[in-house]
Amino acid sequence: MDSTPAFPKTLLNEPGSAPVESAPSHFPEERFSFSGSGAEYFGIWLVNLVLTLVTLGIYSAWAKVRRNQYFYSNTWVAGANFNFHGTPYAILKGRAVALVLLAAYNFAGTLATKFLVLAVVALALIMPWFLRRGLIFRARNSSYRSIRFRFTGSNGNAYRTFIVWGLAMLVSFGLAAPAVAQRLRAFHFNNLNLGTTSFRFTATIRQFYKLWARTSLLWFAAMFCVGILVGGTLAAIGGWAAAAPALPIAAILSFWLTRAHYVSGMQNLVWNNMTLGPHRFRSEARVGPLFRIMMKNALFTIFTLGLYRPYAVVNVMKYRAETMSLLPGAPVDEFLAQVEREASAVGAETADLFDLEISL
Amino acid sequence: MITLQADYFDGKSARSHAVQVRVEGSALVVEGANVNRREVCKTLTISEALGNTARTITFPDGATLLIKESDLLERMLDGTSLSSSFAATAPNKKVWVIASVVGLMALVGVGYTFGLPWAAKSMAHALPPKVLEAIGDGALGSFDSMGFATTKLAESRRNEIIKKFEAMKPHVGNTKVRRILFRSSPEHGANAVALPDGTMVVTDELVALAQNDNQIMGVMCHELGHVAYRHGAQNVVEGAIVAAFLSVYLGDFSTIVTGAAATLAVSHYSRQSEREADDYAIAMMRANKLPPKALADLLARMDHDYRAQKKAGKAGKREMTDYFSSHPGTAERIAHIEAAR
Repeated sequence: MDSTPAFPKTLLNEPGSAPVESAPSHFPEERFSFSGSGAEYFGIWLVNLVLTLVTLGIYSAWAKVRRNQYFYSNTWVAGANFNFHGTPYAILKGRAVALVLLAAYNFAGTLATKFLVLAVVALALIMPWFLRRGLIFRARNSSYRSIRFRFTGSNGNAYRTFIVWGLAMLVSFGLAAPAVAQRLRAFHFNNLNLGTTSFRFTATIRQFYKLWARTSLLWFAAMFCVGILVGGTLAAIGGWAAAAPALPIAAILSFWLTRAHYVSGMQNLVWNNMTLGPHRFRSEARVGPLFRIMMKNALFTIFTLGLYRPYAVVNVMKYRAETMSLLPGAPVDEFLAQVEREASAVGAETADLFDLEISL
Repeated sequence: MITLQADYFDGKSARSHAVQVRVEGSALVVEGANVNRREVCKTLTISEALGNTARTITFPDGATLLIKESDLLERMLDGTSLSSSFAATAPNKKVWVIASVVGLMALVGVGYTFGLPWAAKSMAHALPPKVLEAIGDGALGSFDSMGFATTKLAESRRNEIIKKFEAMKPHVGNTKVRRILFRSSPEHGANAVALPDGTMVVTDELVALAQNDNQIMGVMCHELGHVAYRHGAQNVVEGAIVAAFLSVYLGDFSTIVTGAAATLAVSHYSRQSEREADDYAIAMMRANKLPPKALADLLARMDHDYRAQKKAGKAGKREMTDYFSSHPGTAERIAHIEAAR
């Protein structure tokens, strides 16, 4: 239930390259900020958790709304915050549909293998439709300065992107992953608008491969240094018994270091290559600080048996928001609204449950 | 009367207008340089109170008010249709937060002790055979990669045991073993396991350790008890429930942590399950005119054998997977079975 809030996924996410050179405008840079606190979110998280357990999960739709509202409303840029407008009923309806689909999928799996194959194919065919609905729902229910976001990607485009690149993923044994990641984000952001102003996403597949390559290298280097050097030193001093604990520690440290590198790199890559009409963004997330935050979060969460979790989520959100700026190319209050039909939550929820949500 | 400073957005452009907001009767009044609105509170929606988070009031036409002082706003709106719900204000009150922590711990404690076994039992009995077979096949697959090798028993001996057991009447209903398999496993020693689908695995070592076939039948009756009462399926369901709870509690923290913790929480049969299976074995053996003491005797031999090996330092690798860590309370069980004579 308490996954990273959807807002950061939509708006704040990931990474990579060098910061954009300073904006060629005379408007001052506007820094993003996050005004929430761990203690405050702890209360919200806890009440959400208890009510969700007491109602056997029904309350989780309300919980999700309140969590999203908390994270959106506390994210500020240029003197105003974001807003989440999704309703619990829309989310509950979506969950019901998702549950039916999941049950059908599992049931097909228990009948016979050939039904399972059919179910997987059917799932592949409806998934793009659901994912697109999900993006529409999320955009439609997010606003900034009373202007709603809009997602305008077509069904045709959704099917092309997901099926073609999904197959590429299979055929290449996963080597296409960076390209797929780029294509999904391009599909998302190149169809995203704030009112009548459009986002444009210009990061290339090549840049995605570079990030993947650097992250993999870092992992090997970290495993080698911590495992071999630290482990070796210990083995030299105290024999193999003393060195054995170094290996899991090496694995854990490397995992978090790699993760910090990937998350910060992706945030920079996406936002330093994004425009919103005349506006641009700058993202300066760094591996070191993010690594320290993640390690601290992991340790405290373990030692408090999970009670630190809401603080951990806030810590990461705060860091990610505060390393981002908007570089206005025009007055920020010139975004204009556009009237649009209501979107249902079905897509977003199904994507959530199947864990296929494209999180950018 | 309370008057608040706010930012007004008209819903058509992102331009902000500095305004003052107050309540007059059942209406909200908004006044600023270019703004002059009066709306009945009932037509407005307000974002929930979430700590000190800034609040947004939305008008029917999509215009919004951004108000930073949540506390003051709450006082201003008190008595109107816009004041907050319980769930929204609870996190702001220390006493409710503390009550929630205590409540959560009590809920988890009671749920784990009573609710979980009850729910798992009901669900285990509701699982269709196809699902059980899928679980059984999966478990058997991982077994064979865990130090269980092809049996070295002669085929005639195997068939003799199978025939003998299949000739016995089950204790309740028509619980049947789906198949009886033999495996050689010096690593795990004398052992017998029943999988949720009714597949029974008996080790060569157990057959060798038994002094007579009655003892083997005793252990097999006991395992059939686990199948009849769906103990294995119950463990699987409990694991799934614990994993579901942990994933709600820890969010996306780590599926690995969740999975591992769920496995640890339910990997052993409970003492109560053992007692039920023993009682099943006692009843079934009596009904088939076999002495229940045979089961107790074999248990004692297995225990003795295990201790001897442990003393000799040979049992190190067996600790996590052997019969005695998955079947707790041996001494107590032997006493119980012997008392039942």
